[in-house]
Amino acid sequence: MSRAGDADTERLERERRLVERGHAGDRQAIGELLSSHGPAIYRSVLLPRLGSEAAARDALSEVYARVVERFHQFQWQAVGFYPWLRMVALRVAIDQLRARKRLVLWDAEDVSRELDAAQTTTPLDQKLSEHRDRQAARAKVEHALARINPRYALAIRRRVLEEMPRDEVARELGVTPATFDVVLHRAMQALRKTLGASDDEQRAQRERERDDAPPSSEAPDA
Amino acid sequence: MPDPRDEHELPDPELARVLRAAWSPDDLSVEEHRKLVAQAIAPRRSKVVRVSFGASAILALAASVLLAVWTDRGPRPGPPSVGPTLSLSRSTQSLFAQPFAPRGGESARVDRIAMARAADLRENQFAKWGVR
Repeated sequence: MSRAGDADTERLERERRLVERGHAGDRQAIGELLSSHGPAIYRSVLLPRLGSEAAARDALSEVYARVVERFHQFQWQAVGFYPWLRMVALRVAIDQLRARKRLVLWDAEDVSRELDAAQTTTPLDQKLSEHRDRQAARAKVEHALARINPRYALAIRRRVLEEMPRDEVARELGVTPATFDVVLHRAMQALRKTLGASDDEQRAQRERERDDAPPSSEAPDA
Repeated sequence: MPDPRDEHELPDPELARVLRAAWSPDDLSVEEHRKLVAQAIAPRRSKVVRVSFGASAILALAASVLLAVWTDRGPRPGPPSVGPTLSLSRSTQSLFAQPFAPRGGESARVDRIAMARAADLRENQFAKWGVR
C-alpha cells in the first residue's frame, strides 16, 4: 500500500475510534471530529451556498448543535464522518435559505437536490467531496455570468473574482479607468437583476436547460 | 496601492461578497472555529440555570406540602348548602284542560295565566325568605 493510502487508513482508524468514544458519551471526541472537518464544511458547503460569512458562521454553529444532539444516529461508514456532517450541513443550509430572503446564488431547491444526491449515491471521501463542492460553486458563478453581456461578465470576472487591479482590467477592456467604473457598475446591476429573477422564471429557465441538455448516463453528483 | 479586495471600491459590495464566497471562499479563523466547537460540546445547562431550577423545584415542593398540611388542619367544609326550591318557569298549557272556544274568553285566559304567575312569584319570594 502507498504511503498516502497508509495515512488515509490511519486517519480513518483514528476517526472510527473517536466515533466510538462519541457514542459512549465522550463530548471531547465529538469536538475533535468537528475540529477536523468543520473548517472544510464551512469553506466548501456553507459559505458558498449562504453567501455571507455571518450566515455561514451561524449555520456552522447550528450544524454543530445538531451533530451533538443526534450523534447517536450516526453509523460508522468506511469513508468516515465527513459525508454525514456534510448532509447535516446541507439540511441546515436549506433551512436558512428558506427562512431568509437575501441575495444568494443557490436557492433552497438547489440544495435540496444536492441533499437528495448525497443520500442516494455512494458517499465520497472528504477530498473528493470538497473538490466537487468547490467545482459546483464555481459552476454556479459561471452560470450566472453566462446570463449577462460577455463584456460585463469579463469585467466582473477580472475585477471581482480574480481581484485584478482596476487599471489593469480597464486596459484589458480598452477603456479608461473612469469608464471601466461605469462598465463594472452596469455589469453588477445586470448580474443582480439576473440573480433577482423570480423563482418562477428561474424554474422555467432550469426546465429549458434540462430540455436542452443531452441525455447522460452519469449518476448525479453528490 | 489600494487593496483590490476592498469591497467599498466595488459598486455592489453585497453582490461582490456573494460571488467571492462562491468563487474563492475564505477560511473561518481558527479562534472563531474553536469557540464554535467549544460552545457545541459544552453541557447544555449552565450551573446557574441548574441551581435556580433546583431552588425553584424545592420551593414549589415545600409550598405544595404546606398547602396539603394546612388543608388537613383546617375546618372540614360541610355539605354544600341547599337553597330553597323555587318554582320554575313552565308552560301555561296545564292551566287549560279544555280546548279553547273559537271566539271569546281571551281575557279570562290571560287573567288565569297572570294569577298563576303571581302565585309562583309569591311562593318563590316566601321560599327565599324562608317563611314557607
